[in-house]
Amino acid sequence: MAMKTFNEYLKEYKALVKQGSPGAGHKKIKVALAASFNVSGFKEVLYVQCRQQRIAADIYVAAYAQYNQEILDRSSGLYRHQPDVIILFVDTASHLGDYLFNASERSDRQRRNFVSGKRAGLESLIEALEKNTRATIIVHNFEVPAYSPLGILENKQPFGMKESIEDLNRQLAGKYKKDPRVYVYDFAAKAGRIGQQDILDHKMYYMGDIKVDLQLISSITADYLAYIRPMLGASRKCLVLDLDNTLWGGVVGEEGIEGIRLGPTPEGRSYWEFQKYILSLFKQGVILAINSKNTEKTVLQVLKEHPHMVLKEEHFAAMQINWENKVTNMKAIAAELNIGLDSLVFMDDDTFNREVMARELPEVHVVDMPDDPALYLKTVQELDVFSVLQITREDKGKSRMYAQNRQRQQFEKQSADIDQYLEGLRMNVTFFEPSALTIPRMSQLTLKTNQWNMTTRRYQENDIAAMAADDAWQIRAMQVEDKFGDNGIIGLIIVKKQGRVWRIDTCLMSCRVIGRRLEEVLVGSMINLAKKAGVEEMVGEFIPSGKNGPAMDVFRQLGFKQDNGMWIYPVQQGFSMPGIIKVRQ
Amino acid sequence: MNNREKMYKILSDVLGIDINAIDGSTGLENVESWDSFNVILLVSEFEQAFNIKFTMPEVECFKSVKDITDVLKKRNVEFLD
Repeated sequence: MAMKTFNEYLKEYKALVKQGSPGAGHKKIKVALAASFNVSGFKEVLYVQCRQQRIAADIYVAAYAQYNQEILDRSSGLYRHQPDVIILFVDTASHLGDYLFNASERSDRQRRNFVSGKRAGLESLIEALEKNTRATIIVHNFEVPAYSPLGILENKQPFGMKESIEDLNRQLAGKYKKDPRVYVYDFAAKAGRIGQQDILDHKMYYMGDIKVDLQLISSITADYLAYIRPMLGASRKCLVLDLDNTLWGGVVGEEGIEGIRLGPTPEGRSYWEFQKYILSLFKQGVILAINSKNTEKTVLQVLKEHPHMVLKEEHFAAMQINWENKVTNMKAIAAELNIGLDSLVFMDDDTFNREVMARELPEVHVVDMPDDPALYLKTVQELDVFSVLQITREDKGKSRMYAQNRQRQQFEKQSADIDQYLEGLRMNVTFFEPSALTIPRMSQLTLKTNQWNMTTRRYQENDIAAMAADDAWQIRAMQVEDKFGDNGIIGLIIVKKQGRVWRIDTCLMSCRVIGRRLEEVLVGSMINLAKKAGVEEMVGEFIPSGKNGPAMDVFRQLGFKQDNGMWIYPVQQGFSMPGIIKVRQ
Repeated sequence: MNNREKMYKILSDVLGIDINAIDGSTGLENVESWDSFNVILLVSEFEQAFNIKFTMPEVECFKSVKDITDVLKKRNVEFLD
């Protein structure tokens, strides 16, 4: 796919704006961009890229070169916009000014003082943004100049100009490492990847104070999406892989297990390293699946016996290996894993397969694979669709849990009926209150759970922390273990206490544990807690989101009665918990 | 598409004007959208389309379609007419 030119983005933007507001099913986000130079065009390109991913972005751009004033003035347009995410792009030349020309005339100490003063200046702006908004803040770090008037002697100085800027970047990264609201965007590395010669067109800079070549804006705004997607729970979860000429070179059905190219040889290394990188994604929680036209027996032999096969049976949560068409297989994978098609990413070397997939299942993210297998590794490394804002213990184990689920399903087939199966699972539930350890996971569940989610209210970590500090809220997370392993924290209930009435603000469960009567434990134990507190009514609410159909009937099944669009449970009658699940408080 | 058609297509797209109404005299004097940002945008799109880089002095005199054509011709972009 050829990159769109800047003007094509502008045209598309105009066309989209003309069409009017995007339909339902679009996720909404308010973005504010504050920059130290002329960022004309950023808004339009970012808007178009968001729309391509079914995100309706409402984007505010701070007045040209007035980022300081807008951030410090609490009545500015930036704050009136009430952004969910703020991007702060201060470029090196604007921030350090003539220092870039006269740094070498200064002493080491002067350089140190100057740069640390500049760092404090930026940090105080970030502090103001943190204080005055609830937004997630993305801050560009600083491009390090590739030149120096000292030439080759630059790094012979104890604290040279380049080193001072690198140090500034290091300090910034260090300061916000533990701050869940501030992300430092590594613009220095981005500039390096693009090439510093190209990122700035000097003529455009002198003519219009434009510091990013117009044709490169789309590459930078695409990086912003890696932050925006997980905020909206729109990250992808599962990587679906073809086999022949994707995970190894050659066609195993024809060339046999000895004939395929895979391993530390010139022909095999690209596939081998491609697999190694995919394994590292698995370890960060990306679910893996196979969608391949092949004979299952042959493939299983490769998975088990090939000495350089990095990915093995235990890493795959679903395997569709047959002679069906790949679209049918893709739907089967989504159904088997109980995740949406919009959670899937597809990698296949065959252009035709990719085109059919993109046409038939537009929700699936089809990766534009290069013809040359030497570029496979680079392609998967550049995939940013799995990005999450925080990695929790559950993430790291998630892909393994999905693979364990295949075993659970086999166990289910062997069991006589559902109750015998559930009993045989020997489930143990533990409840957790909000704490530094559990809040990231709680937030993440609200951001990522779509199907079994009564209200689909999305909460960032600081939202949960604020509720946890307020006595009017009761928050409990549910962890489940069974005979096959630990499922981690997979349920969350948030209740607003209003005297004799408690309202269920949020009630959700990860889809992989649906159908195990765990909802009875999640909601029932809250009802029993309310009973002890002398509460009369528990009020439940179901807000249709287009995706939470599976949760529609839950309140009725739990014994709630519908009343004026809400669901009511008379708390004092108590809730009898399912005996087959053990609960530890 | 010949080079003139390519050029007029970009002018029409960027400035939002009717492609058939473009001639050498089209420019700052008679097109409202011929502002400083759109000139930069035109420069960027022409550089992309004709695989050249303009110099700043060249761009500074982009006041009409004729000015741009003259520079492109000097840069060996061929126009049939």
